[in-house]
Amino acid sequence: MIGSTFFPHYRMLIKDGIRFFLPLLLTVVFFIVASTISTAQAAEEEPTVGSVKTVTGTANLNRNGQLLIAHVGDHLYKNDILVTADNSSLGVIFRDDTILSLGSRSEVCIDEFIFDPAHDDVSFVTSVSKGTAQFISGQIAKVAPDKMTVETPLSTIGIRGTRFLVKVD
Amino acid sequence: MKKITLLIFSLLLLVGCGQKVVLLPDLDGHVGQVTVTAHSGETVTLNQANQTVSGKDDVYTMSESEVQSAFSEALAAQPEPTTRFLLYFFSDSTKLKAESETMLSEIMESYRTRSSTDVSIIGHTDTVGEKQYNYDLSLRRALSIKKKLMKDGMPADVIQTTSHGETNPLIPTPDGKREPKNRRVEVLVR
Repeated sequence: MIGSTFFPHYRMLIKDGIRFFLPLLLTVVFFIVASTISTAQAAEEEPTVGSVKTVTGTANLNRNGQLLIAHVGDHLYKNDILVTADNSSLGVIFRDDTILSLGSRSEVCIDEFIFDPAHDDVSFVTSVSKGTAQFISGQIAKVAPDKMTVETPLSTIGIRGTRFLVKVD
Repeated sequence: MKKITLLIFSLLLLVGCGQKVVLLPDLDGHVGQVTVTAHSGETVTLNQANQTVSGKDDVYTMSESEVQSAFSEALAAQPEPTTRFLLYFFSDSTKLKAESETMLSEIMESYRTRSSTDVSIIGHTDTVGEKQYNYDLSLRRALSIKKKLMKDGMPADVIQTTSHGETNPLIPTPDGKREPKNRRVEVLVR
């Protein structure tokens, strides 16, 4: 009170301060909230597509160029490359219940996996670049057979709900 | 000289780049179908057990022992298929029918013995009522099962809950039809 009596411009200064800092504060808060939301969205955009169920010997998941050792229970994501070493194998189950198992010295990339049957949105593309693999197709091949394909260096395999083997030398 | 070496090397790579695709009977014995379309355009259809296409279009039938010797590792690594449980509810309710209540312990057992980290809980309804209302009801059913399983010790991060509402009936019916079999939650333990 004394301040405002003797130095009336103090009040103005405080008012100006609020006028200046409040928008700044709001901007900072906005950015913090916005970044939290976008992180949460980014996490939601990367749903698990399946999980590792069997491992013998040494099997790896190549995720964004990083080679991770595969363990039973590990979650799988789109763009993961499943890799097995000599005398090794790997078995996984996808969210649509497709089963995939690999023999040794094999490499299979999960190129695309969308499974939202309630909105008729499904798509499943994998590519076998080398080695041996068994596929037992799940719900995607059942509800939309043309939406599941397996690519090899030589051809495209179309699936009508079934079980098959691939060997790429 | 370098060019010639490179040419020989790429020719060797091409020769080495062969492939085989073998159709096997499904786990239930039924034989399905695959098409193998070469990047150069030819398509081969396999629809008999152990039918094989080698390279572009060399089709023959592999003996059981040939299949085993070429693919034993991949076949041995095959995981157990997903276990599926169906839980039924009272009409317009998240209350479980008594016989489904006992299934919760079977689900927990399957989750533990399979060391599962991927469990889906999918809610459904019959076609009585509004679509949006049924979507919400089916979500509430799924969430109530999630809550029960979490109480029994299943961690939240292995569970994925989804709602199909009335869009995915077990028994297809016209709109507005009461169908107890469609008032369900499916639990898939992978």
